[in-house]
Amino acid sequence: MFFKSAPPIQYALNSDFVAELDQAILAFIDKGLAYDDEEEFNRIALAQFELQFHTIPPYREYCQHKGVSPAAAKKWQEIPAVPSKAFKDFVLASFPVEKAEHAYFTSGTTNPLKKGQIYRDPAAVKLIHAANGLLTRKYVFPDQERMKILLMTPSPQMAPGIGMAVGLDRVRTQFGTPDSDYLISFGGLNLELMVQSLLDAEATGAPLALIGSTPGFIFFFKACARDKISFKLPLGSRICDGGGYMGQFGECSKEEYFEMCHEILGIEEPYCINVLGMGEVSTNFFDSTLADHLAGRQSSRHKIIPPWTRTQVVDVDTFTRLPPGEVGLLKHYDLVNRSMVVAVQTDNLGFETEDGFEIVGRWQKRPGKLDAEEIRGSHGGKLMNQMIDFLLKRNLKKLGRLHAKLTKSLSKK
Amino acid sequence: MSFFSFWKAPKINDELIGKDEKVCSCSVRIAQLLQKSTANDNHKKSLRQTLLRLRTPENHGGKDRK
Repeated sequence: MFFKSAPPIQYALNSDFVAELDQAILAFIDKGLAYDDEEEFNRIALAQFELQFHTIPPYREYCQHKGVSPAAAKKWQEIPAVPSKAFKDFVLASFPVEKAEHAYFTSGTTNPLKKGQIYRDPAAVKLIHAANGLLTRKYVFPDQERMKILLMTPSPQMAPGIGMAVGLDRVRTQFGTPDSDYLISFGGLNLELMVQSLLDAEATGAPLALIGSTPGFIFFFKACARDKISFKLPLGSRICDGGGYMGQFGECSKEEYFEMCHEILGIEEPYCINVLGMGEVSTNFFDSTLADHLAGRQSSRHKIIPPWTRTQVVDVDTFTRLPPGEVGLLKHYDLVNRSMVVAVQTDNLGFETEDGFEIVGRWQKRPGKLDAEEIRGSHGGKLMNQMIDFLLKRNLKKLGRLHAKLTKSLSKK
Repeated sequence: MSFFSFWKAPKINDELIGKDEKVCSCSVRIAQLLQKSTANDNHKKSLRQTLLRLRTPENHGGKDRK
């Protein structure tokens, strides 16, 4: 921005308004994953909207253009959601960014000059730790106080600008045993550490957790498959991946990925947890598989929507909400986004399920067309990706229902 | 007329939806780090060599598929 004025004093980072808001958000999170209060969620979301409207000029202009103001908005659904691309073009921080504790620069894949900017002040960092700590406990470590974690990321000291590295360092300190370690160094993948740890786990029977970048795991799996090497990790070992099944190391569908987790590491599918994490949305969205499995619940794989968030699926053209099962763009409302904007419109494609949502691909606006390459490398499974390819040429809308029907009939066979 | 009379400040609008090329920048950069190791080392040999070197009679839990 060329011209920047200080935020109104009543919305300053050290104001009573922000302190009370943070307290309310933290109290909401602390009530746990079984608690939900629509009225309180609405109250906090609207208060955040008021803060962000008054402190983020480009967002205020966007809202004014849409004819929405904090005085007029009565429901969280009315809060305008910022397109995720806007994070690359604008500073969307509700506080002076020189006070940031977290500062990430997310770069584009094709244009490294276009960098997304994510800022969080120290109080907002506390919120993100509380929220994601609770979720990691419930969906990745529901049965283990601590265990050895191998992290498929560089350390935050090596890569302070990579959000995943910073976030996973928190996971390491909160859930890892002292021998937990990073697998990526300046020299690339630390093969010796990786292989030694896998062999140790086999020999001692102590389960191991592998957490990190999906392409990193695919890279390792493909090397193992090429050399005909596999391991049999002890029961209770788990793998938690995020980042999408992209094509850096060759094509890999979601199904192939789970198959490799089993073939190469001996990890069963319920112990494979995928996470949808984005810089623009503070809360991580975890697969429910392990929690469901340990609780003896039969459920298809889906992402959990924590009580302090709301996720809607909207039509790609009209941006109106779609019924469950129909595929559209994922829109997130996240109370933990206090330092940025509470509502974010992503380009991720997904559909609502009975208990959450599922991500199936990525929208690229090219006159009504979805980019097939993007889809192949996205979160969607092989079956889903092929269906998307096919259906986008016809009708996108019924995909979720069709997928549910097909997976149900496949599981019966 | 000054330059600024022609210059229009960029604005957030709905046209930005569907234009975010980013998939996951963390993973992209981690992949770049991994690719570096593949380029620098004789990676094709190193995985198997590492495994053979580390696998001992006491540590034979791993199965090496034939």
